[in-house]
Amino acid sequence: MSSIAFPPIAAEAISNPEALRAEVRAFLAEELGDEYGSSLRARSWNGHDPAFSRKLGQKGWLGMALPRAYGGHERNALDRYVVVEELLASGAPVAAHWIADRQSAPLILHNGTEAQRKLILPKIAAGECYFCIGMSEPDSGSDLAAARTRAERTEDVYCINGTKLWTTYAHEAHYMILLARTGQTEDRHGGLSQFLIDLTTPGITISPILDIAGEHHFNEVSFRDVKVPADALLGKEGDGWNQVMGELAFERSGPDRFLSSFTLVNALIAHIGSQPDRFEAQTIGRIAAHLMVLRQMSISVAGMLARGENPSQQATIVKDLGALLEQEIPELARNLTDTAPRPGERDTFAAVLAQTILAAPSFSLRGGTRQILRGIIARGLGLR
Amino acid sequence: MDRMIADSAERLFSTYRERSFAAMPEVAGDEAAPLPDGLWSDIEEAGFPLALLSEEEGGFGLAAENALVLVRIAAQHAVAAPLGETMIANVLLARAGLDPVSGIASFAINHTLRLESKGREWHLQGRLSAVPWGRLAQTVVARVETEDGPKLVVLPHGEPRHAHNLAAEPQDDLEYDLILPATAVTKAPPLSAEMPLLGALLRAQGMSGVLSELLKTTVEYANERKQFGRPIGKFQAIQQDLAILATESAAAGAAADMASRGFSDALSDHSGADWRLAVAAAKLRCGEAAGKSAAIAHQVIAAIGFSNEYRLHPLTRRLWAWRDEFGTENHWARYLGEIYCAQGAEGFWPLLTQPEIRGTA
Repeated sequence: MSSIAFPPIAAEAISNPEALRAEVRAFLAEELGDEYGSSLRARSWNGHDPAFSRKLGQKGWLGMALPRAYGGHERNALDRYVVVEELLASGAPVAAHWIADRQSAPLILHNGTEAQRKLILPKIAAGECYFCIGMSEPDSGSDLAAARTRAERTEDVYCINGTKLWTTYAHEAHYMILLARTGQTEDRHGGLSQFLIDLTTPGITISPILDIAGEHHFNEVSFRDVKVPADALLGKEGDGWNQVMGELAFERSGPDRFLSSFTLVNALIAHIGSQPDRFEAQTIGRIAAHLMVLRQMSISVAGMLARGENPSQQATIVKDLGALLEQEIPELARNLTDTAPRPGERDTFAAVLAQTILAAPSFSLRGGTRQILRGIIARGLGLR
Repeated sequence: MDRMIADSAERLFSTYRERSFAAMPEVAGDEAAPLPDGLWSDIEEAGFPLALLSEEEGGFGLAAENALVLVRIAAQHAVAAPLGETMIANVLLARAGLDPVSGIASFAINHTLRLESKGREWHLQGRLSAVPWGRLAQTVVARVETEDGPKLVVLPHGEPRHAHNLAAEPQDDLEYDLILPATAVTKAPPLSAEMPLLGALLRAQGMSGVLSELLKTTVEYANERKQFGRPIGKFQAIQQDLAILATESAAAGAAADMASRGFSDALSDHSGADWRLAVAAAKLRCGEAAGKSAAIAHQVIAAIGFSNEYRLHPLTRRLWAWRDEFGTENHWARYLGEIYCAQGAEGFWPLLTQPEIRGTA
């Protein structure tokens, strides 16, 4: 096993990125403006604003790679990449549509029925339909295959019982893509299936869980005799594990995996000024170098996904390296300044530092813990 | 064509793999390793020293990113060879409108050279410091400031004061006091101002080649070596370390690609973007990967990997040598940091997204 390759993207994956990038930057400057301060931007992709998501939909910047038949725009994979990274770098409030656009839409496109595609995809592309992820459970976090939520088929309905946990923005979402057990098999990866769940279905209870900063992103979602029609099945019954693995490649490799602390980097550069001392220059230069390389790797994965490959190893590597950098940034910022974090302030360096420190532990948990990611990489090396 | 060149490099360097290892002196401080017999003539016969040149310049018109793969393959096999240095020297000569040279060539970034015009000739006096493969170089290229502007000087073999790096590769000082003919001194091409970056580019390629081999060697060992009744690679503690090694190796490969594509664009005027940022970032990133990965490999392969007979130190000693040559991580971090801070917070992201994403055909 020699190095895991990150091949350059193919020329056909990209059209005219300069023009698109300029257009997105102009839009963001106009929409967010100076009054959209660093405390709001530092929320990164946790900032939730459905009105903003709808505006992106109107611009044609959601569902960009989807076929036109489903309300998409048939843009190149790298066009989408340009839009996504510009949104993240500006700290725009993208949480409402984020999961739907990033992973639910490609999942439905690849595995959904024609009716599911026609029902859902145009609304995602319009910025009007939001998703949450139904993977983790109270006794099944890193060990996803231990999921116990059951979906029992009787005639033309599935009856669902169980609990999903750490479900980000379930309280604002229209749908969940639920991973549930539909059969008993010897193979613990077998017997799992995915469902498209309308969260207004009776029997679903969504309860908030506050994070360490007191913010409400997480939820517990319980299912008690929830009856969904048989056509809520997404993909093939029993194929859930493979589908989830494909979904995770979309979830793990994007620029959201290394730009979560980006507002703090900007605040730090503003704090340092244009004449850095030796140590300041070294620190900023090192952050820049890491971001440049991560960006190359992430763009390469976007290209592989667009070619229909399954770059799960590469996506895992981007996520692990990205989280390391995102978590190191507040530590580097502390080393360069004598400013204590101040959660009560607004739009100051100390406030952004406080927000980033309190958000940072989640960076290496969401989307798979660091230990799990490294286990996946070790498996790819042939060690397990 | 690109594939053919890479395949022939693979054949050539794998032939010399064991001989190059055997040539390393037992005691690291003793002497530089000699080049295995026949290696350089085989490299020349394959045309590799001209790989960065266009067809008009006497090369075979490879894209620079493909030409630089040769340096990676040599490093992968831990074959000591002044190939990259000769390739760069030939590019500098070509940019000055001169013909490529035959034989081993190198370039010098640190020197005390003084150049004085003597009618149609030049008197050159001074010392070059730590020239890679200096003692073997039949030609050394350096850039010298004069009252008449910067000049590229083409030096013959110089009197060497021997020194070598951690990997037993020559790093010699060369002393000169001689009259150079008019043909050996030309107006310095702009690229010659970036010699430290060209060196950094080579070392980034080299480190990425070594790291890919280091991963292979370490994973193979972990799968074979049994302790407590099973291969040590079955233990999670080892797996987690090897995952980091794989990740660092992959990042170094991506960084080296970024640098060679940036340089390729610069040579062919594809993009107006600053290739220097990509090379500086790649040298920094590969250097970080080198330190972390060497430590993991030695920890996993343990005592046998620390022995002279085991084929790990030709890899790790190269990583430890090359991460410090042509600028340490801190050096390039400062270089980048000064450029990025000068842009201010507003300019940071726009500069980071240069060059614009481009695809390869």
